[in-house]
Amino acid sequence: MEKIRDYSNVTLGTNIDKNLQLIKDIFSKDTVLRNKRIGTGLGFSCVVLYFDGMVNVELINQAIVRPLVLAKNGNTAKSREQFVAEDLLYAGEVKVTSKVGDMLSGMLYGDSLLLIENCKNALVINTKGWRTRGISEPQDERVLQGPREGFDEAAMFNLALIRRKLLTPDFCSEMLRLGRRTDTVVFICYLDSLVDKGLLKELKKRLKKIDIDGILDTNYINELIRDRKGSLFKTSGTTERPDIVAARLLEGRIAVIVDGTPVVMTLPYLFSENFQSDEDYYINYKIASSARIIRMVCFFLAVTVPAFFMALVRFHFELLPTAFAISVAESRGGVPFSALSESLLLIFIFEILRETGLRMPQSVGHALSIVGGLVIGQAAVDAKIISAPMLIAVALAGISGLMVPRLKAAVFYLRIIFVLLASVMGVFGILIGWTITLIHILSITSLGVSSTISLSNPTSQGLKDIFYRSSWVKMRERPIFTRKNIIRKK
Amino acid sequence: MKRLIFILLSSLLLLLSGCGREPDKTFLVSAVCFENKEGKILVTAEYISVSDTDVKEGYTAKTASIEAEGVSAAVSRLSGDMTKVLSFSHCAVVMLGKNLTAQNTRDVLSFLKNEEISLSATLVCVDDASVLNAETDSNLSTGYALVSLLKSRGELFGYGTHTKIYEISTARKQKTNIFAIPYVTLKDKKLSADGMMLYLDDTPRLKLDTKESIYYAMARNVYEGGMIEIEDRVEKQKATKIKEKEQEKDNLTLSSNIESEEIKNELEAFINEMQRKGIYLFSSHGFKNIKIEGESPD
Repeated sequence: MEKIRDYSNVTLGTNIDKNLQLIKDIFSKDTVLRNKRIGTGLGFSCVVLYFDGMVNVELINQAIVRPLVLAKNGNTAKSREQFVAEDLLYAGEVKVTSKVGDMLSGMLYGDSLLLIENCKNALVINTKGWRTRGISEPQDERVLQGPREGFDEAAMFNLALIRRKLLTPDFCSEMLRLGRRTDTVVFICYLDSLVDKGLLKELKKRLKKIDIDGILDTNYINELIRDRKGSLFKTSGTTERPDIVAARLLEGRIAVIVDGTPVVMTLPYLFSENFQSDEDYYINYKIASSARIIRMVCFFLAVTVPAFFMALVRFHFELLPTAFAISVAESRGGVPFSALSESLLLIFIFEILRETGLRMPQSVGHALSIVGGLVIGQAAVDAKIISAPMLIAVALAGISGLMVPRLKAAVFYLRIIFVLLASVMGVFGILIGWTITLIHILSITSLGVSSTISLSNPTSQGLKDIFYRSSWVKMRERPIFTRKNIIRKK
Repeated sequence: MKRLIFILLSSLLLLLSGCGREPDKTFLVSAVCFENKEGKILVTAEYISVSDTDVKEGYTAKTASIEAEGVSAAVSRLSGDMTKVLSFSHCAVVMLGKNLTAQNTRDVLSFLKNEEISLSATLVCVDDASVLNAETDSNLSTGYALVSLLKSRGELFGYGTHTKIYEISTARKQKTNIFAIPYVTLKDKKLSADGMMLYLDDTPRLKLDTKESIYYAMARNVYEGGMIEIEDRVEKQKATKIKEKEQEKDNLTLSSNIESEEIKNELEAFINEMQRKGIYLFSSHGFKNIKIEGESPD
């Protein structure tokens, strides 16, 4: 592998032309590097360098070019670069540096570089101004009630959206850069008085260990730092909504913002969060609680229904009411597949339809659902390729699975495993499957915190946001992993 | 190592996934009849045949019979002769031929315990398996039609609902060693269940008509309320409870919550008549006279 040249210890000389050539040479194959020579009113020249499309050109003209051209009096005790940075430029954030590495990373992140004649130091000026998508409601996290703003791809902008929700100096954000080639900006955010310092230290330790070419999305980090790498269950929360991040920070969690993606990661992640909806906290708690219970039931149905039907049909046929048993036998008559093959086939077809519906434009997606679900389904039953009861069982499981999108992967794999177990051992197979699954769920940790900590250390307060959502009047404490400052409301 | 275990487990899972029985590869037996034919056991099964192809969709009830030396052998041979496996899991009725000997009956009842047949299937007594050819208004099978018929008669007259396999097993374990099951016959090619067959020591001993069946149910404390004909009128009787109250030499006094004196007298007469025939309906027996008082039991 060809090594990336390290410029962290390279410094500039005093010759502005040589310095300019050095920068040009570094970016010799980059077509969007722009440079503009400025003859100042003080008798020396400067060169401003930036990447087109990443900067606010108007800001460069007004905050850098204009004051330099119009400058008249330059006799001060300060060095030339200090004088330009502190007394001349109108820019809000100016950094004086001699290290080429710092200059490059600044330029690559939308800053402008100002080279000054006869100066070994250059100025890195904040002129970020790339286009962003702006605030829009996240497609996957729509709510009927509550805030509708969502993150976009600019980390700074996302940070501002969170800060707008948390108007307190307690809010902390630490920046680091990850990815050998992408040098992606990553922010770690937390509320200093609530966060468990041990968890914060652990997260930083894991982030520091990351050694990868590029970080293009939060999931890169998620997969690299997660506790149980082989687990089907999530060990970190993700959201595109600033209100959700703010709420999680208020519970003592840590947020990780990655530049270039609207998805923000929160840690630690409890298993109960899989059943929580963003809207739960904006609507009446009784309605939210019933919806949460339905989601839990749906998870159970999504995993178990095809397997249970398989077990009933092949091993416990006597449990079916006689009329239904005859109906099942009748509908299975002529179907060329075994019940196992049929259920696996249907599960795969359902996943294909779901995935296709997601990738298609919305209008085509609706048509596809109708054609796929109704027309093909009915035709397949009529043609005796599949049986209607199995189709209903798989469809019920599929629709139930849509209620718990955060458990999508787990539901898909568990459904297949459970069907296989049921085809071997009937209902006992399902019981064995659930026993192993529950043991696994209880063993999952997120950043070292048990994802079922509220159940392993049950307290009346800790259970008030698990199986149901209690009213804000009664939820007085934060989750138990906060450890300190646990009182949320007096 | 992990990969090897995964491959082994997956292979095992896939290999074993062929276990179990496909519902379309079985015949669902709805009723089974056991008879004694010249010392051999004749088994007749009514089963539901589901169409394998879509040429003619639907299902039909068919019968098949075979005879063998013993009950198990007969059932095995019957299953072996069929094109699909016989499944007794949805068998609703087990018919005992009137000519079964005590040993035959015991063999059948012990066979039922071991078979996959549901213990909640109803036991009935029949003259022979021709009952399975009855014309019924059920679109399923004679077996299921018979269950519906017995249920409606039970609801109307208040007896006959306690004749499931597990209930008969319990009754057989009692000291009296008697049990009664519905007696089903064919009348004008239609099913008729107008009484019960009383078994003593696993042998059909006495045929009870509807009224006697009601009194038998009252005496055995399984009466659930229904209509009783008294002379020319019909009386409605609530569920009854009979309790042994007092024993004195040859006399046994029972207490009951029956209000009608006529019903009480008829029940008293029925119980005494049974006593005379050597059929003791109560666990303590050997009394010459049994009397019923009108007190309500607790």
